[in-house]
Amino acid sequence: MPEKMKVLILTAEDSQTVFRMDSERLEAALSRHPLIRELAEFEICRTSTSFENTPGWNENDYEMFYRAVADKDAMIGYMFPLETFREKAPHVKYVHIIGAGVEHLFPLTWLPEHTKLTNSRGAHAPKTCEYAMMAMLMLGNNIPRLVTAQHEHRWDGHFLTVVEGKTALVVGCGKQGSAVALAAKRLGIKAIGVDPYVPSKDGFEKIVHPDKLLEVLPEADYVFLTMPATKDSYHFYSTAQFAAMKPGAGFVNICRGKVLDADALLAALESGQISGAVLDVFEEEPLPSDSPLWSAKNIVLTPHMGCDDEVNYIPRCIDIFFRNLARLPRGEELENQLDPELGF
Amino acid sequence: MYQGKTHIHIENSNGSPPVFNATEQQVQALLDKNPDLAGELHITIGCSDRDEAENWSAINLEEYYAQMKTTDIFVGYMFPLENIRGYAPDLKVIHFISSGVDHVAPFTWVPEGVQLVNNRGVHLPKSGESFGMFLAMLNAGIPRLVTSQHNKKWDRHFTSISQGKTLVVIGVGNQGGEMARRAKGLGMYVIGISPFDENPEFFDEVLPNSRMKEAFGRADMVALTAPLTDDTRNMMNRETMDWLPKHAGIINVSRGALIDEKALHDKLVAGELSGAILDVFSKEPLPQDHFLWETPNLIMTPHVSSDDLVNYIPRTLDLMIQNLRNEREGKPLINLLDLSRQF
Repeated sequence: MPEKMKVLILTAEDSQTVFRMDSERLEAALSRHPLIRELAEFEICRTSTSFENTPGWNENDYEMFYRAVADKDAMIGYMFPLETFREKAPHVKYVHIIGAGVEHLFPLTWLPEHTKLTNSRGAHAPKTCEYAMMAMLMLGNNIPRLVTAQHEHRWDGHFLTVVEGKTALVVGCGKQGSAVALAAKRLGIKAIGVDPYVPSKDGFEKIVHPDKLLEVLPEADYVFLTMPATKDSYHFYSTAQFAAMKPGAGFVNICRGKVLDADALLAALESGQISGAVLDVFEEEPLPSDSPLWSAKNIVLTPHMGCDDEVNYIPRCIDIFFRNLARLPRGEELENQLDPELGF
Repeated sequence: MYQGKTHIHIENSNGSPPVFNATEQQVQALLDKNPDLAGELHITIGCSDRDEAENWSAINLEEYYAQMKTTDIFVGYMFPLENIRGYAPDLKVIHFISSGVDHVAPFTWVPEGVQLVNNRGVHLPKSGESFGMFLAMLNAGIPRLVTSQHNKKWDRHFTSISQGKTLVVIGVGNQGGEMARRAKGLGMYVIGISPFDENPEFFDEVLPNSRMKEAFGRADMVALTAPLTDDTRNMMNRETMDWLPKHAGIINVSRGALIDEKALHDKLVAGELSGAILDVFSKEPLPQDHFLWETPNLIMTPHVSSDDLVNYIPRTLDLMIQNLRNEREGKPLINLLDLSRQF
């Protein structure tokens, strides 16, 4: 019998329930994937806090991680020391990231050639779908405007029609975009996609290249940003895009704050060019207390929780990881493998 | 009857928002959709100054009485309740454009031979979307997050999907059924509360009022869709709300008087409920100095969840015509009011 793969689970004492990896969740996942029990043995390394936090790791945490990763073949985690990775994790041939956005790991120069890297895109899908459905309905019912009115003690009675039959524009047709398209379908809303790499996909009536974004924007009642943050997408959605939107349309960002020029959004809300916005992500998180977004009119902010399911997120991430662990010894292609060139 | 034609009189009200007022275009569209009947109908539109008939002007009353002399079917919300048979000898049907009819209770004024119809069901496509939204918002903790936003507080509160959560729906009529249907669409478990022995679609269980405490103990959310009657008034009070777990939330889309608003406010302030969404209030519009404006973890919408700006009147008129056809074919009318139940 071949030796079992040694697998590291990197987590932190202060992880919130939604992101917590513990023996209970590991055991539940092993029950779902009995084969993995035969293939791999696990060690949970629990540092005092997550590496990316400020303040981050203490000496003890570094020592604990380096000792644990030294003999491992694979690991799952979110963030860890990158510069020392080659030296301290010489045997790791596979790393799985809890999270869909991986811009915090770029550039990938730290990644040894023999090491595969995958992310958790798709793990968010059911929660994303429900959040997107809610966001479309909130925009269709002017909830952001009504929340502003409530804040001002104003009875703002005005009637609207149904969202059925409206059009959503989904900028980014990866797994998050597909979850939004599914939400649209369930509400009888037409989904149009925008993507540079995906020419067509189930759930989208059509997909156009980003070059054509300004041409399709006037068709949309609701615009969703579901694209990755890369070096080229900083403030991709800005004044020109808001100006091209149908007057009174609604706007949602659930991917990354950096892709949106928030000043342009504030101007579009202030002028009434758009009727409302729902934001789950921000350029700086936590959103600084002096950000003008907090008190902008016709906006609902949720603190980057929209797509993360407190109960099901980690189990779904581990499921992807385990399916890939099973593929490793067979030399098969991995699910959600990252393209170092594209950045996602 | 008006010159051998069935006279349908629609009474608009300047006191109502445009969504509830019929236009000539909508009437024409109705006739175009029903060419076989068009030649037999005389449809008139009046407009009162305000909802409350006791405050109508003299000229308003005069125009109204003139139309009602020959009216067979009346479509409206409010009208003079005295001596109806005297001023409207041909009247057979009063079609309320609302689904609640508590504003004309008790029904001692109803003359013999007049059938009362309400508008329940007309709201469904719009109210269904609103209900799905309210359920998802409550489950995602949006009332709490909006309060945090108001306080500029980054409150990273995570939630799970609605699937598997338990919803208790008070009232299992059309609105309650639609609430249940939307909840089932989200994968929720739905318990109905009804004083009548009913087994409606989309409910996993229906319990009598006497078992409300037991149902509340299992609830993640409660939705009020019951009509306002003597039995439902103030049914959500301090005692009954205490039966709910702390993480539960409340949605009210029926009538404000079903809830003791002060008790709800206190429960939300104390964190003894996770959130609430109210579309209806004991006093509407909600007065500017009302305490609810400042209640934490509460989202209020100004009684707009169920009325479709584009489709409300067309669907009302479709129902009215369907009932006219039913009457001619000797079939029972849809949405006939049961006066003993007040709805």
